[in-house]
Amino acid sequence: MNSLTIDRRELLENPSPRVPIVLCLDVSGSMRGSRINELNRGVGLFIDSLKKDEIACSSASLAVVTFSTGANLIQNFTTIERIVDATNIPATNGQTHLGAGVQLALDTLETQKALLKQVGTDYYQPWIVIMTDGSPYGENDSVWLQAAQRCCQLESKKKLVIFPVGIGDGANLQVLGNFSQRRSPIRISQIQFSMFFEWLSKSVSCVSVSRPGSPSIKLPSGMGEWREI
Amino acid sequence: MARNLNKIYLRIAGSSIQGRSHIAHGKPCEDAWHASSVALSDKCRAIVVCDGAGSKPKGKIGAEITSRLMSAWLVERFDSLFCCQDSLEELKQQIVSVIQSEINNHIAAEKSDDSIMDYSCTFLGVVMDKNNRWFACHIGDGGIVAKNTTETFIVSGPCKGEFANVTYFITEPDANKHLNICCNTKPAYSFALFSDGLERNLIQTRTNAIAPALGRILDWLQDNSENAVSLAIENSLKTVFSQNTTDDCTLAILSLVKRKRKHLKKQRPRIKKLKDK
Repeated sequence: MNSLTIDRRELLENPSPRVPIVLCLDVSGSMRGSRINELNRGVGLFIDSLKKDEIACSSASLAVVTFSTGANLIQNFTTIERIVDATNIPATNGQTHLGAGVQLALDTLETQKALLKQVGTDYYQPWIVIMTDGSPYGENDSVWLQAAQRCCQLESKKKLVIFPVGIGDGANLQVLGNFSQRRSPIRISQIQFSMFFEWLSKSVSCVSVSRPGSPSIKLPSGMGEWREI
Repeated sequence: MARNLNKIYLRIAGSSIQGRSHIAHGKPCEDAWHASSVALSDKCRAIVVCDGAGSKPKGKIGAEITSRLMSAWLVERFDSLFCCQDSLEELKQQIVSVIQSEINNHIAAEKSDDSIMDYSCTFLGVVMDKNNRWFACHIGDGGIVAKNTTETFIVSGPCKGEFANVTYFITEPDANKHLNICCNTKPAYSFALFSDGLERNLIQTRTNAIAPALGRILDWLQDNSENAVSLAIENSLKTVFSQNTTDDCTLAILSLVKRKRKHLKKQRPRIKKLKDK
C-alpha cells in the first residue's frame, strides 16, 4: 500500500523570485568629503536592513553603478548575503556623466533579467535608484536625454521602476525629472541618506510579499508622493 | 459474451489550508475548490481549484463562485466539450462567458457597485469519465499534472506574465486569450490540481520536472478511501508544504480506480469442489 505521508526530500526547490535593484550613484568631485561618507553609510544601512528581513533578504538582488567621468559597474548583481564591500565607494575628482551611468545601469539590468530567465528564476519589476548632487557635466546633453528617454519607455511599459533622487541644494531636479514620468524627483540632504535607504529597504519588503492582481503596490510613507509602484 | 470484470470508480480527494501570511494579516484562505457530486453524475466527475487574487476585495468570493459553478458545468456539458474540438476559441469564450455571467449575476443580486475585477481569481478544472476521456482548462498560476502507467506529466503549467507578481484571471476582458484548454492529449488515470502556493515545490521552473511526491500522491486513491486521502492531503499541506510557503495551499486529485467485481470471490469455492470430485 502507498504510504499516505510525504517527505520534504520528495519535493522540489525553486529559487525565490528576485527584485533586481541597481543603485546608480554620482561619485563626481562634488560628492567628496562628508557627502560620500554619508552615502556609504546609507548604502550600508540599506544592506543591513534587508539582511534583517528574511523574505526581502532572499528576494533582493543588488548591483551598484557609479558615474563621474565615465561609468563603472562596481558591484554586479548579487544577493544581499553575498555583498562584501559595497559600502566603501570612493568619490573621484571627475565630471558628472549621468547619462553614461544610467545607460550602464540599464544594460546591467537587462543582462541580469536575461540570466534570470535562462536559469528559470522569477523576478519582480526591476528598480533603478538614480542619485546625483548636480547636473550632467562633461557629456553631451543628447547622452543623458537618450538615457532618460530609455528609462521613460521602459517605465511606460511597466518594465522598470525609477526612483530619481537629488542630493542637496545643487541637484538639478529639472534634469532628474526627465528620467521618470510616474515619479517626480525628490531632494534629500546628506543627513537624510539613512532615512531614505531605510525607507527603500521597507519598500523592497512590500514588493517581495506582493501578490498577483495588484495594479500597484503600496509603499511605506515618508517619501512624499512616492506612495506606490 | 465477454463480461466486464472490473468495477470502475471515479474518486476525488482534496484540501485547502490558510497560508501563514494570511493568518498573520487576519485574511481568510482565498483558495477554493469544489468537486462534482456523484448525485449529479457517476459517469463522469470534475474537480475545480480557484485562487482569489489577494489584492482584490472579493477574490475569495470569486473563487468560491467559479469553483462551485464549474465543477457542475463541466459534468453537465461533458459530451459537448469533445464535440467542440474544431472551434476551441468558441469553447474558450463559452467558458469565460459562463463564469463572468455568474459573477455578474451575483453582483446584480447583491445590488452593489462592485466591478467584476473585484472578484478576480485563477481557475483550474478537470473532468473525466469512466471511459477515460478527460478535459482540462486552466488560466493563471498553479498547475495541473496527470499520471498514466508510464509517466507523470504536466497537463497545464503556471501561466504568468514577465514578473513574479503578475498572472492572469478568469475575470479579465481578454481572459480567453490566456485560457488553456486541452483534452485526451495523453492517456491519464489520475489528475492533480494545485494552487500557486504549492507550485514551487511541485514543478521545477527551469526543467519542468515534477516532484516525486506528486507522483505518489496521484496514486493514493487507488488503494485508499476518499476520506483517508483528503485527510492525508490536509496533513501534508499543514506539516510539509506550509513550511516552504506563507501562501494559501490547495491540492485536489481525481482518479479513475478499477476494482475486480466482488462476485468473483464467491466462484472460487465452487471450482474447488469440482476438483475434489
